Amino acid sequence: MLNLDGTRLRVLLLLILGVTAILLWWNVAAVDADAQSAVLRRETFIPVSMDITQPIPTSIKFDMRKVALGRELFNERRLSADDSIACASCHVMSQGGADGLVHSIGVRGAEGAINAPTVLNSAFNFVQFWDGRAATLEAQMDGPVHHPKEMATTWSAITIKLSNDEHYRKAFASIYRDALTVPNIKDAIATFERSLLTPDSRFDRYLRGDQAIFTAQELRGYETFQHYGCITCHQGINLGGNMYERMGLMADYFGDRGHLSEVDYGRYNVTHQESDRYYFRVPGLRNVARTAPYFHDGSVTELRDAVEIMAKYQLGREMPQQDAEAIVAFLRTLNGDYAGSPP
Amino acid sequence: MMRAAPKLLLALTLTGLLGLLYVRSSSVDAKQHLHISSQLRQLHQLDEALGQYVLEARVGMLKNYDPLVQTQLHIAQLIADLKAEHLEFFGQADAKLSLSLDEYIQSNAEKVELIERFKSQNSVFKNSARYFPLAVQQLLEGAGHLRDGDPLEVEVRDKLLRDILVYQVAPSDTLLHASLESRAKIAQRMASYPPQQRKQLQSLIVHTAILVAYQEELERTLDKLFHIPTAARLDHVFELYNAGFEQAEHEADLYRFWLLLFAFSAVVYGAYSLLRVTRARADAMRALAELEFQKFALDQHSIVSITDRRGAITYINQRFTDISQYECDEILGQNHRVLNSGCHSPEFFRQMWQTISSGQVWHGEICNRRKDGRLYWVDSSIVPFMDKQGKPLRFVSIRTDITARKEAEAVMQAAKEAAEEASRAKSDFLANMSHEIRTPMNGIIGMTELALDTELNSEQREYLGLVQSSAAALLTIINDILDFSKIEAGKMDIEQIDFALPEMLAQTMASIAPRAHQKGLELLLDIAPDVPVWVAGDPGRLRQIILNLLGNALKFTDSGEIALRVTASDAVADAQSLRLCMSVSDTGIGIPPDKLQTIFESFSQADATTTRKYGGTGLGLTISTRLAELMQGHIRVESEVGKGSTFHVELVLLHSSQLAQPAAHCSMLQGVRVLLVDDYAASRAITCAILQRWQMRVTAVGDAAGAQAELQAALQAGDAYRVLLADAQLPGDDDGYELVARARALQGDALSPLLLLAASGQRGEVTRCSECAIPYLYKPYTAATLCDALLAALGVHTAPAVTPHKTLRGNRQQLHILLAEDNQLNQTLATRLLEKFGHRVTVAGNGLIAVERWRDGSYDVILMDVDMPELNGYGATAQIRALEQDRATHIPIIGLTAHAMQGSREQCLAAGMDGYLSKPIDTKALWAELEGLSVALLCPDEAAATLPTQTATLGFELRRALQLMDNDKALFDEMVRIYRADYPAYMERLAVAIAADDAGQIRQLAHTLRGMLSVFDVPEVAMLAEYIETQPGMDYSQHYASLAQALSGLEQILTDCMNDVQPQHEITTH
Repeated sequence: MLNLDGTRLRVLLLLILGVTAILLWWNVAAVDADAQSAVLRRETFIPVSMDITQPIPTSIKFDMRKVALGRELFNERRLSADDSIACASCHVMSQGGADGLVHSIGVRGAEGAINAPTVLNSAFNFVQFWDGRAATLEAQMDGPVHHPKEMATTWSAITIKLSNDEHYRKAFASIYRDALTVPNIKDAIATFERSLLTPDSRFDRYLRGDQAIFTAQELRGYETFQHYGCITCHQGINLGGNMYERMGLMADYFGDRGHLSEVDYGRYNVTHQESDRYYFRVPGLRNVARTAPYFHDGSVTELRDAVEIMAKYQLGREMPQQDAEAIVAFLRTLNGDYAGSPP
Repeated sequence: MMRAAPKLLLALTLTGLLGLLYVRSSSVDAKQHLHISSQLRQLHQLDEALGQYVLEARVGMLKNYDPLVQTQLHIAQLIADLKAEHLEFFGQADAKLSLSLDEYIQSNAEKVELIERFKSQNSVFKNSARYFPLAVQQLLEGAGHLRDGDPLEVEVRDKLLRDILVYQVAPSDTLLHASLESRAKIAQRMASYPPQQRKQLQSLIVHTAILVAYQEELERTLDKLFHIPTAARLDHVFELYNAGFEQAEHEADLYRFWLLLFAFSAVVYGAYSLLRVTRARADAMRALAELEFQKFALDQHSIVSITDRRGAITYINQRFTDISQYECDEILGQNHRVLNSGCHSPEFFRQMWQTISSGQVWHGEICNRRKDGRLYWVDSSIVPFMDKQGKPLRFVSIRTDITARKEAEAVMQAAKEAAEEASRAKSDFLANMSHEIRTPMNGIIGMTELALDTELNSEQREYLGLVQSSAAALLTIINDILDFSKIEAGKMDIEQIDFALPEMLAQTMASIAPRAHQKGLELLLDIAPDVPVWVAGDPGRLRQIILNLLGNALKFTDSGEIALRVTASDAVADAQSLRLCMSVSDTGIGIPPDKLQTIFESFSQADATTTRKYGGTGLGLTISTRLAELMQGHIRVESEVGKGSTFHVELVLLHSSQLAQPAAHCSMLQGVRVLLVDDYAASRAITCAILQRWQMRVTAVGDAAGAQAELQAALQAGDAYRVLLADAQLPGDDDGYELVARARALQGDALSPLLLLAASGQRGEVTRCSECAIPYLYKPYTAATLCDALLAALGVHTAPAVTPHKTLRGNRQQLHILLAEDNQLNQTLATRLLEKFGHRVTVAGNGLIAVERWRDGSYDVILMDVDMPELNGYGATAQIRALEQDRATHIPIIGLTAHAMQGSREQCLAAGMDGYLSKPIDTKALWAELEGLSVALLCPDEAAATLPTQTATLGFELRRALQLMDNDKALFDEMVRIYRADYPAYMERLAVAIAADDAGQIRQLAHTLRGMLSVFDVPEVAMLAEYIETQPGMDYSQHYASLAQALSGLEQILTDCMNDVQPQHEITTH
C-alpha cells in the first residue's frame, strides 16, 4: 500500500476533496454576498421632491480623473474636422455655458440653424437638444460631432487624432482598462458635463432656507412666476428641462414671427407625429439671465421680452411690465457660478 | 506505466465528473437570480410609482415632473441593464422570456409617450385651471370690469365659472354642454364690448375651451395610460423567469445532491485511505524497526555498503569503516573502485557487473585495498535492487572479512602445491626411473636372449638362463611399481571397450595353465549362464586383476585346484551397468584372520617369511584392489589357514552395445547323450552343469574304467552314448586317448569323442590327438567353445572346432621394417630381435632420416620411437601421413615409447600411428601389434595365406624327434647343432640358385634340405622344401621366403627344445 502509485492516487483524491470543499464553500458564500448586491448601480440623480423645485445638491461625487480628462477633451479642438472647434467653442462657461450667439459657428465658419443651449446643469435635462432627440449626454455628443455645420467629423477620426497624442493615450490608459475608445471619450466628456452644476445660486440658498437673501422684488418675482403659471412648465430642480411643450400654445408664435423653418417643427422632426409639431423641450431656467439670446431660434435678446412673449404665447395672458420685471429679477437669482469644478 | 495509465484515466474521469457536477450545480447563479428578481421587482415598483406620480401630478399633489422623469429614467436604466447584463435570459430574440420583456418594453414606451403627452396637457390644463378664476375675477372686479347686471356678468359668474369649476371636479356632459353654451353666448356678445373687456372675454373663452378640451383629453390620456398593461406584462416576465429559474434550480439541486454525494464519498474514501495509510505506516514502521534491528545485527557481523547503480557508495557501516580505514565522509559518494586492489582482472569485474546488472545476486571473494594500501579479502554477496523496469536501482553488498582465512588458504595452497610438486616429482621420478631402469633391463634381457642363441657351454647357458629369469622377475617388479605409482598418481585410467568376457577369462586362465600343470593343479572356470558374453570395460586391467589373483593362488597353492567363478550380481546401479562378481578360490595355505586386512596394504604380505618363501613385491594385491576400486568395485578375501583362500572381486562393467551371439546352435545338442569323464570332481560338476544347461543327457564319471563300464552298459541298454567327453589325462591305467580308443573299438563311429586338453601347450598331446584323429579342446574352456567343439565333433561345423594353437613365430611373415630409433642399444636389440624372426630391418637415427628412408624405400611397417632428436616420432608420423595423402597409401606405424604411462597410446594414435609399444620391446607385444596389422598386411597375398606354413605348427614334436633318435638327448642336441650350422649355408646357396634360376641346383638343394628336415620329423616344413624340389619353373621367391621363415622358426623351436628338454621331460613323466 505504500508504493508510489498509491500515494499519488491518494494525493489526487485529497486534492479533489479539497477542490470540492472549496467549490461548495464558494457556492454558499455566493448566496451570502448576494444580499448586498441589490443596489442600483447609478444613483438617483435628483432627490424625490413633491414640491415645485429643489436646490441643486451639493454632495454629488464624480471621478475627478474623468472630469479632468473630460474638461481637456471639452476644450479639445481636434474633436472637429479642421481642429478649429471644440465643445467649449460654443459652450463657454463664462457665458452661462452657451456662446451668446443666435446660431453657433461651426467648422469653416458654418452657421448652425438653432440656438445652442447651455451646457450648465444639462445633466438635469430629461433629454438633450431642443427636440429631445438625444436621451443622454453621451448620445448628444454625436450631434455636434457629426453635424457638417458644427464639428463635421467622425468618432474614428477623432480617435485616431487623439491616439496620436501620447498624453491622451496615457491619460486614457491610466483611467480606463480598455484605454482610448469612443465610449471612453464620450464617458469622460459626459462625466465632465455632469459635473457642470451651479448649486450655489441665490435661489438655491433661498430654497435651502436663507429667506432673507431675496430682495422684495425678487421675492415678488418668484411669487409672480408662480402666479402666472410659469411654474406649471418650469418646475423641478432645473426649473424646466423635464417635459415637452408646444411653442405658441395660446397664440400663433410662428405665425407672428414669420419665416418658418424646419427646426421650428421641434419634436416633430424626431417623431414625425403631427401631434408633436412645434413641441420643444421646455428649457431649464437656471442661469437664464446669462444665456441670451432666447428660445430655440435665439430670436429674443432681452430676458424681459422673452418673459412677456412666454406669458402671451404660452400662458395666454397679458403681462404688465412690472410683473415681467419682477420675474426677471427673480430669474436673475437663478444665476449660479460654475467655479470650474463641481461644488 | 501500464498500471498507471488506467489510474490516471480514472482520476481524470473523476475530476471531469466533479467539474461537470460543479458546473451543473452552479449553473443556477443565486446571486444573479436575486439580482434579476430584484430588478424585476423594482421595475414593478417603479411602474407603480410612475402611475402614482402621474395621478399625483394630475391632482396637483406633485408639483414637478422630476420624479416622473427620474422614475422613467430608472425604468429605462433597469431595462437596459436587464438586457445588457442578462443576455442569456433577455438577449435571445426568440426566447419566450425575451419576447415577454420586449412586450413590456413596448408597452412601457407607449406609456412614456402618453406620460409626455400627459405632462404637456397637464401643465396647460393646470395653467388654465389656475388662471380661469383669476380671469373671471378680473373680468368682474378689475379695472374696466363688466357692469353689474351685464348679461354676460351673470353668464360668466353664475354659469360659466360654476360649470367649469364643477366640471373640473365632476365632469359631465350636461356641464360640458352648459359650459360650451355659456362660451358660445360670450363669444356672440363679445363683439359689443370695448377692446379691454373684449380681450378679457377672449381670454376667458380660450381658457374655457382649453379647460373643457384638456379636461377630456387628460381623462382620455390617463385612461389610456392606466390601461397600458405594463404591470401585467412585467408580471408575465417575472412568472416566465421564475418558472425557468425554478426548473433550473430543480436541476441544479439534483446536481448539487450528486456533488454532495460525490464529495461525501470522497471524504469517506479519504478517511478510509488515511486509515489505511496510517495502518500501513504503522506496519512499515514496525517493519522498519525490524529491518533496523536486522541491519544492526548484520552490521555487527558483516561489512555492508550500498552503492547506486553507477557504483557510487551511498552507505557504509562501521565495520566497513574499520576494515577499509576510510571514514564515512571520505568514502560516501566515491565510486567503489577506490577499493580496487588490482588483484582481479577486468573480466572478473565485467562478469560481476553483468551478473548484478541482470538482477542476479553475485557471490564471490574479492581482494580490496585499504586506505593505507594493504590488501584485505572479503567474501562478498552483492544483491541488486531492481526498479519496476528491471533496471538496478542500487546494489547492497554484504561482506565478511576472510583475510585471515585467505592467508591461511594461501599458506595451505603453497603447502599443497609443494606437496603436489613433491608428489609429481616422485611420480615423475618413478616414471623416469622405470624408464631409466627399463632401458638397461631391455638391454639385459635382449642381450641375454641373443647370448643364449650363441654357442654356449651348458654352464654358461645355465647362468644366462638365470640372468634371463632374474631380469624377467625384476621387470615384473618394476612394472608393478610403475602401475602402483600410476595409480597413486591418479594417472591410471580405465578404458571402456567392448570385449568378450568368457573368452578373455579363458585366455587369462590359459596363460597360467602351464605353470598350474607343472604344479599339478586343476584350473576351473565357471561362468554363470546369466553373465553376458559381451561387456564393455577395460579388459587389460581386468585381466591384470584376475591374473594377479590367479598368480597368487598359483603361488600359494601346492595341490588341489584353482577356480575362477563368475556371476552377475543383481545389485545393478542402472540399466547400462553390470555388477560382476568374480571369485578366485584356491586350496592353498590360506591366510590367518589377523592378516586378512594387511595383505591389501601396500608392500605387505601375510607374513614376512612368506615373502622369503614365495617372493613377490607384495604390490600385486594392492594394485588389483585399486584397479577394482577404479572399476567401482572392491576385493575382499575369505580364508582359512590350511584350507585355502577365496578372493572375491566385485566390479562394475557396462553392457556392451554388441549383442551376444545367440547360442541357437547349442539347442542342436538337446537330448544328445553324452558321457563326461573327468577325474576332478569340481571340473566335472562345472562341465556337467554346462551340458545340462543345453539339456543334454549327461552322465559323468571320474575315471576311464567307470567310463568304459558306462559305455558298455549304455550300449547294452540300447541307449548308446553319442558323445564321449573325456579329460585327456585320467588317473588309472588308461588315459583319455586309451579310453577313446577303447570306446571306438566298442562303438565305432557312432560315438564322437572329444578330448579335453590341459592348456599347457604340450605339443605331444596335440600330436597324439592328430594321430588318433580325435578332436580336442583346451582347458579351461568356455561354454561357447565347448558347444562349438561338441558340434564339430558331432560333425556339425558351425565354426572351427579346434582352436588352433598358434605360435607367433609360426604366424609371422617376413617384413621389411623401418626402425626409427636413436638409442644405439635399442637399435641393436630391436634389430637383432626382428632379424632373428626373419624380418629385414632398416635403421633410421631420427625422424628426419626415417621420413627420408620411408620415401626412398618400400617398407611394410615402421617402428617409430616417439622421442628422437631432430624430429620426434609424432612429427615424423605427421610428415609421412601428409605425404601419403598424395600417394594414397598407408603404411602402418607403430609407436615406441619409454613412457609406459596411460595416454601414450592415445597420443600415438592421435599422431596418426596405428599402434603403440612401450619400451623395452616385449616381443609378444610386438607380435600382438604386428598381428593386429597382419590382416592388412596379409590380405593382399591370398596365395601365401593358403600355404601350410601360415597355420602350421611346423609339426615338430620333440617326443617324436627323440623317439627317432632313441630318446638320446645328446644326439638330439648334436643334430640340432649340426642343423643350425648347416642349413643357413644351404639356404644361401638356394637363394643364389633361385636368383640364378638354376633349376637343377634348386631341386638338389631343396632335396638336401628336405633330407635334413626328415631327421626332426617335421613333415610340414619338409613339404615346403619338397614343394620347391618338385615344382620346377614356378616363382620360388615366395616359397623360399616361407621356407626360410619356417626353417628359422624350426631352429628356434629346436633351440628351445635343446634348452628346455629337461623340464619338458619332467612334465611328461609327471
